[in-house]
Formats: sequence, C-alpha cells, structure tokens
Amino acid sequence: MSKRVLEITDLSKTYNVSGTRALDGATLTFHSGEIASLLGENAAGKTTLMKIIVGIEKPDSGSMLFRGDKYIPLGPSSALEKGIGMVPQSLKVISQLTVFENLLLGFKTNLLGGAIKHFKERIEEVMQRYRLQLPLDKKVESLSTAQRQKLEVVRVLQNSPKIIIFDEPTTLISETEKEELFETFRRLSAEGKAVIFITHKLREAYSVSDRIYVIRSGAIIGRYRREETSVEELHKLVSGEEISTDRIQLTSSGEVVLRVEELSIEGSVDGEEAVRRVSFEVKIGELLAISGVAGNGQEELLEGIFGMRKILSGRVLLDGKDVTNMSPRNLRKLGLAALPSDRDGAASCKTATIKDNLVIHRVIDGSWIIDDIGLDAFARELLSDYGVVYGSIFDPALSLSGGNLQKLLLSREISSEPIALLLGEPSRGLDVKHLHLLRAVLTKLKDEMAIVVFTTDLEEALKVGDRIIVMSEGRIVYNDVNRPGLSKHGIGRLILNATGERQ
Amino acid sequence: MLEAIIRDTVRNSTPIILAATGGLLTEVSGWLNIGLEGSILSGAFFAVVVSSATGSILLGTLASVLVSVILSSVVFLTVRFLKANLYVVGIAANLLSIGLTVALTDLWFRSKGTVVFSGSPRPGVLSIDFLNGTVLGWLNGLGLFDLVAIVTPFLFAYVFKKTVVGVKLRACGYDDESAFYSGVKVNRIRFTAYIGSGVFAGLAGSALSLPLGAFVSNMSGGRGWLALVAVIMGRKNPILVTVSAIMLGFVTELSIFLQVATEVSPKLLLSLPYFASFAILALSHSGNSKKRLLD
Amino acid sequence: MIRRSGANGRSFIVIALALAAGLVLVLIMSEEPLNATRAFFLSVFSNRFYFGNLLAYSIPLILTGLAASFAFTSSCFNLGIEGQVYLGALAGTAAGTLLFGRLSGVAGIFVMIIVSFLFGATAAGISALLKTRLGVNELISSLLLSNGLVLVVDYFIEGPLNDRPSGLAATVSLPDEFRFERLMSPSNLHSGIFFSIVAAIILWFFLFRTREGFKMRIAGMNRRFAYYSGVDTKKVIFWSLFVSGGLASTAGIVDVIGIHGRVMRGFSSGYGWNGIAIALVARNHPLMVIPAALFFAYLESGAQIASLEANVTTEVAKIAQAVIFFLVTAEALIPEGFWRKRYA
Repeated sequence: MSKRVLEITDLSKTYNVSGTRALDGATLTFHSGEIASLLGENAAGKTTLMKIIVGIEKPDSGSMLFRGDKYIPLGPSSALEKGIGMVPQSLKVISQLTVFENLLLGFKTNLLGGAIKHFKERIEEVMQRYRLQLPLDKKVESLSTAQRQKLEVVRVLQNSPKIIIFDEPTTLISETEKEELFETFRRLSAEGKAVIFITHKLREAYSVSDRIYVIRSGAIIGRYRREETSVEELHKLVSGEEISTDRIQLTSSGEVVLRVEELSIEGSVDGEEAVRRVSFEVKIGELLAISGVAGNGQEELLEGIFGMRKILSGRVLLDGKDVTNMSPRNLRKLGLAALPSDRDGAASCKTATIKDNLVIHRVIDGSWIIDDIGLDAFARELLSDYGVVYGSIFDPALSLSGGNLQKLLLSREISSEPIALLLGEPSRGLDVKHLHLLRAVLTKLKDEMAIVVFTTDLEEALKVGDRIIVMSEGRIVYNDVNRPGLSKHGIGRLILNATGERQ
Repeated sequence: MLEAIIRDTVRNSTPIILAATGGLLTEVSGWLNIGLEGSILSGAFFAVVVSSATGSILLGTLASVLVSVILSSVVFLTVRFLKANLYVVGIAANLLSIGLTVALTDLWFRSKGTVVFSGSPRPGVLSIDFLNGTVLGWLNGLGLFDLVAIVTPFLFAYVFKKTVVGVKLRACGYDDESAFYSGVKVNRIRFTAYIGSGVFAGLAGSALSLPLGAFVSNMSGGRGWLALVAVIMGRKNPILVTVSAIMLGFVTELSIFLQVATEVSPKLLLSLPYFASFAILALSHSGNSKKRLLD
Repeated sequence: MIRRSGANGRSFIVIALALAAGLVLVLIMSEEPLNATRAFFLSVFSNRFYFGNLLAYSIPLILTGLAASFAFTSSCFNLGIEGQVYLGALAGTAAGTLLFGRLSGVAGIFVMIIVSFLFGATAAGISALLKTRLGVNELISSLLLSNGLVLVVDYFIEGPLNDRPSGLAATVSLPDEFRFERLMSPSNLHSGIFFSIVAAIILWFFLFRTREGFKMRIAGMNRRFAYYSGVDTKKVIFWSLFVSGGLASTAGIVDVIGIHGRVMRGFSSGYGWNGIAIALVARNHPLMVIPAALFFAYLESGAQIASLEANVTTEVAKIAQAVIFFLVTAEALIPEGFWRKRYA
C-alpha cells in the first residue's frame, strides 16, 4: 500500500485581473511510488493547481499536507528544497551555459574546488541511475528539446525529491522521445517517488498512469485507478461530450492564393536553415494545417513568409505576385494577414488600449489625421460582433482573458479582409468554449480566404484541416488531403515508410 | 621613452579600468550601472577630504569606497523596489553627485572650484630596483591603484568562468527568469554586483584624487562614461573591457599631452576623448549591419 | 485627456516630494532659514520682475522637455540634449550674424530657428543612424557626442567667434531686428514663449491625432508588435531622434534671441538634464510638459532668489532635481520595454 505523500484539500483561487475562477475546491491525493495523471483541457485549472503546489501562486482558500505536515511553499526553489520538484512546460534552461553550469545554478554554496568535483560525481551518478545521460560540457543551445527536458529532470533529481511534477512534457517531443520519457516515469516511480503527469492528452495519460485525476472548471470531477476506467469514459468527463469522429467536411477547392516554392528560411544562427526547400500551395476553400513536433521550423516558416525572418532562397507568391522577403507592411497591403504564435510579444501590445490594438491596421492604412470617432465605433462594433468580453475600449489589452484576447486578435486580422491568413498556434491555451468558436469561425472563413493554421497539436490539425502538412527538421515529410479515418498514428506510420525515420 | 609612455598610459587608464571593471560586474549580471560617473566623482571628493583630515590613505580610500557603495546601492534599491527605470536613476545618481560635491565644496571649503589639500598623504609608488631597465621596467612608478587595475581583470576572468558564483552571475545576465527558477537568488546577486561596482568606482575616484592631493570640480571628467563605453565594447569579457579601457585612457592621455605640447585650444583637445570614443564605439559595432533591427 | 496622458496622482506626489526635499535642503544650507524659505518658495510671485523671469526661464525648458519626451515616446534616449542646445544656439547665432542686412527681422529669426534646428537634428540623427544601422546604444553615443560638442562650441565662443572688444566669453551680439520682443519689462520674458507653447500644441496634435504619431507611440510601447503590424520602426526611431535633437537646438537659439542676444559660455548648462526630468514628470505628454517646465523653472528661480537674498547656494536646485529624477520613474514609465520583472 503506497503512502500518501501530498494531500490537497479544497483549494480555490480566483484571479483578480480577469475575474476568472481558476480553481474551485479542488481535492486530490498523490501517493508515493505511483504515476498519477492530472488530466484536463486547456484552462481547466491544471496550470493553476500546479503553480500553487510549487508556490508560484497562493491559493485563496484550502490547504495542503506534504507527508503529513502542513505544506506552504514559497516558490519553486523552496518547494524543491522541501522535496517537490517540477519540470516546467517551457524549459527554464539557460542556453548560453553548459549542461554542467546549468546544474550548478542550484548549488547552495559558492565554494570552488573540491566541492565541485564531488557535485560532478553525484550528477553523473544520477544520470547513470535514471538513464538520463547528457554531455556535461556541451552548451545547452546545441541540445535538442528532449535533451533539455532531461536536463531539467536531472536538475530536479539532484535534490532527491519525493515528488516530481511534469507539466505538459509531451507537447514538444517526438513519439520515440515520449516513450523514453515514460520509461523515466516508470524508473522514478519504481524508486518510490511520486510522479505527477499533467496533460491534456488523454490517451497518453491512460497508457502510462497508475492513477488518473480529471479536472474540469477548477474542480476534480473524476478520481480513478487506471484499471477502473476507459478512454471513452475519460473523454466524456474531460470535455463533457462524446468522442466525435466528425471532421470538418471537405469543400470544393478554389483558386490558389498563396504558393511557396523551394523556400529556405534562416534560423536563429546566421546562415543556418530552419526551413529547408519547402513547397506547398494554399487554395480558397481548403484550410491547410501545418503541424509537426515543435521546433521543426513551423514558427520560422510563418515568420519567413510574413517578412519577419530572412528568406535565404526560394519564392513566396501571393495571388501570383512575387512577395518574397517583403515587409509586413507591404504584405498587408497586398492582402496577406498573419497572427504570430507569440500573442503577447508580437501579435498584441499589452500596455496599449484595447482600441489601439484593434484599430492599428486601419490607422496605418488610413488618412493622415486620425478619425477618432469613426475608430471608436469600428472598435466597439467589431468587439460585439465577436462577442469579446471587456470593460471599456480604453482599458489596456492586458485586462483581457486569454480567450478574449485571441478573439480580439482574430477579429482584427479578419476585419482587414485579407485574401490569405496565417494563424500561429490559434488554439493554444483556449478553453473548450473558445475552441469550438474558433473552429466555427475557421469553417466559415475558409470559403472567403486561404487559411493556413500552424499548430504543433496534430490532433487539432486533424480536426480543422482539409489538408495536412507535417514538418520535421525544416522539411515537409507529409503532405496530403485529410481523410476520415486518418489518425495521428496513421500519419506517423506513413511518415515512417516514406522517410525511414520514426516520427 | 617608451617606458614612460606605457607607464603614463596605464596611470591614466587606471580610473577607467577600475570603473569599467566594476561596471562589468553589473553588465554581466544584467542590470548595467549607469551611475559610474557620479560614483567616481563622489568617491574622489571623499577620498581626498577624509585622507587629508585623518592623514591616512587607507581611511580616505575606505571613505571613497563607502560613499560609492552607498550611491550604487541607492540606485539599485530604487530600481528594484520602486520599479524605477534603470537608466534614469543612473542619470539621477550622476546629477546628485555633481550637485552634492559642489554644494559640499562650497559649504565646507568656501570654494566653487578647486580645493587643494596641502599635506594630504600621497599613495606610495612602486620601486623595485631590479626591474629597472628590464621589459617590465614600466612597473616602477606605478601606484597601488594602478597595480590593482592591472590584476583585477584577470581575477575576474577566472571568477566568471571557473567559480559557482561566476556561473550564477552570468546566468542572471543571460536569462534571469530561468536563473531564478533554477534557484539563483537573482536580486541578491545583482545587488552584490552593484556593491562591487561601487567598490571599484570608489577605488577609481581615489585613484584620481589621492595622487593629486586635491579635488577639482567635475574631476571625473567623463571617465565614468568612457568606462561604460569600455564595458559595452568589451562584450562581457574582462580582458576585452580592459583593453578598451586602456585604449580610451590612451586617448585621454593623448589629449592632455597635446594640451601641453601644442598650441591647439585646450577645449578642442578635451573634446578629443569624447569624439574618439564615439568613433571607436561606432566602429566596434560595424559588424552588425546585417542584423535586422526589430528591437 | 488628462487621464489618457498618463499623468496621475503619482506625478503630484513626486512634485510634492521634490518641494519637500527643496525645503529641507534650504533649511539645512542657510544661515537664515525663515528668510531663505520665503525667498525660495514665495518671493518669485512677489513682483513682475521675478515672475516674468520665471516664465522666461520656462521657455527653453518647455522645448527641451518636448525634445526629451519626443524621443522617449518611441523608447529612445536622447541624452545629447545639452550639447544640441548649445550647438543650436551657436549655429543659429552664426546664421543671424551672417544674415544681417539681407533679411527682415521676422524672416531672419525664422531662418535662424531653422538653421539651429537642423544642426541639433543632425547631431541626434547621427546617433539615430548608428542605432538603426549598427545597433549602437543611442544613450551613450548621444551623450559622448554631446559632451564633445559642448567643448567644441566653447572653443568657438572663446576663439574664432569671440567678441574680442567686450572681453566676455561670448560671441558677437545679434542685431536688434533679430530679437524677440520683451513682454513684461523689466523681466526677461519675451515673445518666444508663444513659440514654445505652439510647439507643444503641434507636438500634441502630431502624436495623438495623426497617423504617424500613432505609429511612433505604438513603436515605443512594443517595437516587435509595431513592426509586425506594418510600422517601419527604423524610420520611426530615426525621425523621433532627429526631431528631438532639432527641438533641443531651438531651445538654445530661442534663449539667445529672446534674452541674451549672444551666445554666452555655459548659458544653457542644465537645460538638457532638466528637460529629461520634465519629460518624465509629464509622462511624455506634450501638453503636460508646459506645467512641468513651469514647475522646474519655479525651482530654479527659487534657488536663484534664495542665493541672492538669503545666501543659499544654487546647488540646492540641482539636488532637488536629482531627487525628482530618483522618484519620478517609480512604478515605471508606460513603454513596455521598461517593465522590470518581479522576483517574489
């Protein structure tokens, strides 16, 4: 009988800025020696719960017991000291330092010499024991995402934690690497540690866990041991609906609006290619979904097409015109619009007003003197058309919740009536309601303009795309029409056959 | 002759090297201390005032260091706790120092310009006989501060690369969020870096006023800004920073030399270090023309 | 409009604290505290001479405040304002002496201002180009250039352009046609004040009512967002620094035309730093620059009167100004690039 290692009782939290009730009396228990999944959709509350467990946020009410004692963490390092470590979703490793230097950061004292040697030996021992070997003297910038993830795990393990939390670890790695990760889970739990696997990927949770907790709208609505439940039952709980095998129906193809020929785009290092000789077409009426494991060039592809990154060779043709390496300004004038995946940094200005965020394109293309009254009306109309919840159009954009900001940004791009629209990770972080809205909007729009959705979530791509492209290491490894019956694994197999590599 | 040039260049560069080294600490930690000029000035003032009052170089230097540390700490704390803008507060520190030193000079010594402290102790000068006539002959005649200025960059180079605290310091500058997450006490490290920069700025100030035994209004003469230029040009590398500082010190030395040696207007010559460092700064960036400026 | 300008209770707290600091300093540094306090804070309102001088002193401060705030709006630091003011004064005056006899008064003044504007704008423009082309930090480059320029202008004033017969460290005087009219004799107040106010209004209109001004403000808040939305950020940066430098120069020439009639060595010392502080207190809003400039002029006048009447050194104003600098950006300026992260 495994011991209770972390007991969470009645945790609640409301965020003041957006008024969202993120957690609503969540209660659950984690046991040592077990792999437990915290399963839920985006914005269901998993992130908030986890932030509270490691002390990044404080709950409004409720309590936690760690190994029987009251547990109030002050922050991630304090939580780690007490015995709870987390491997975060966005890896907090410093790329300019080596693997060993990154691990040194957690080192208590500032001594040199002998203490460091001893530390090095301990690291090597940990890596050996959990099969997480990494080259100690290599700079992190040359490591793959999966390797960086291993570094994070080692960093946590060197403190001998009792609980290790993995926050959405599978979004950024390939299928093979996922198997390795799950092996790591098993090794850790075999040693008596409690592994908490936070995810929205139902089948993965089901395949690896001993225990599954389903969270929805901030409350734990399902507590099962794996053998007690099934994928279908879980799906119903998680999303509140039956598994649907519906795909958005194919409509007849129209003219080609956007064509990319042998495009190579620069990566983060000068001259290095993040996108290699990629070619595809986008037609009106056919929504193109470009997918693949994150970091394989999708983001660079969007940026390159839209003039935010250098195109090394190849061409981009918009409506027949060569628009290669044109600035965003000129591309917009010709009818290409884009929403980069960096919502806060590039697609919006958090400190500017809602109105300014909305009207910027109209102002730039408008008359020399700004028509304030006309713009106010335009903004209000657009916001109400898309059902955005907001206070006043003069509030700063950071007062909007994630879903509403996304609606605002979408409405802005659509209102400029482009002939082609590029969307970077449009479904990321959206809750179920907004996801459905997004899909509905896309279905309606694809008959009016050519749409490309860039998403690392292959399942989402399969749900919205009429044509699916998968990228790996900057190249296209799959490009075909979406058919009913096509699945993630199906695509994986096809890619395997074509390229001889497991994807 | 060559020996004399090397010696004078080093002597002239010393305040810049010291200040730049201190500035480097803050640059590596991610929050550059703009207030170096003011710290040097305040340090110079208190160094000579206290040393002549107490008859001790050590106490004068300590006073200088203390004042600079306080000034740098105030800058840091204002930015950290009041969330003020780093650059603006640095400028404020500079202005404060100018106002303070002039006010105190007036208040305590009834003078608006130079104050000579006759009888104030002068720092010792190296004099090792067997070095004379050798390659290292220029070492003789250098003062304590000059020697510190020569040694410190190498010390820092070691610390940055080989010690835990050096790694943590660099981490703060590369990616403070990840560093914090990994357990680095970012604020504490940055504060330490600021204190360090205060120490070195204080030493720079002492190096300026103690050998002279006098305080001249606006004595720092732009050296704090030259130090910042050296820090930027050095791209976080202590040796490069020192080389840049020596280059800038050489230019200053040149302008002083020309003032004595030629008939050219002293004002024009005084402007030389500024224009020269402007040009050098521009040239050192000339490889950047390919980078896209988005930010 | 006040709300949108970003000025709020904080600006008034800062002003109150600055006054308190000034009061404390005056009390400490004077042998006749009551007299000094009265002289510092109240005497300036007591007669036309003092009050007129207060207004006159605010004229260049409005312009340097506008210069600094215009650069800040696009998130750039123009620290070369001191040098640009001085340079502009010299260039404009030189143009004036050359134009005498060829142009009428009004036209002559007009040309002088334009020439002055161009010189300062060019100085700032060089820093701007270095920033957009090579990524050189404009804060340091503009400062270095400015420090050098101040010395070069000094050289010209003491040397080639000096007015030898007078024995002063100053240039030749401008002819009477090329001078602003006095408004409140016997004080220094002159019709240049209209120029300053009109400049503030024009700038406000530009920033808040025109397309290009909108682009500039957005580029200052989030450069990446502006670029992605189609703003040519390099152009915006260049023009913002260019105009900033030009405005700074006009501060110099306006003072010469209005008050001194010639360029006196060091006459504009402090205009630049004051301008920056004014821009910060005014939260970069052009219309708010006017009351902010008046406030700084008030501090400066108070210091001067106190030193005249009650034996207090003028450094008091400098120290009060530094205190303002320390406090005025508490809780950060609005531009996104200046946000600092929190570490619990």
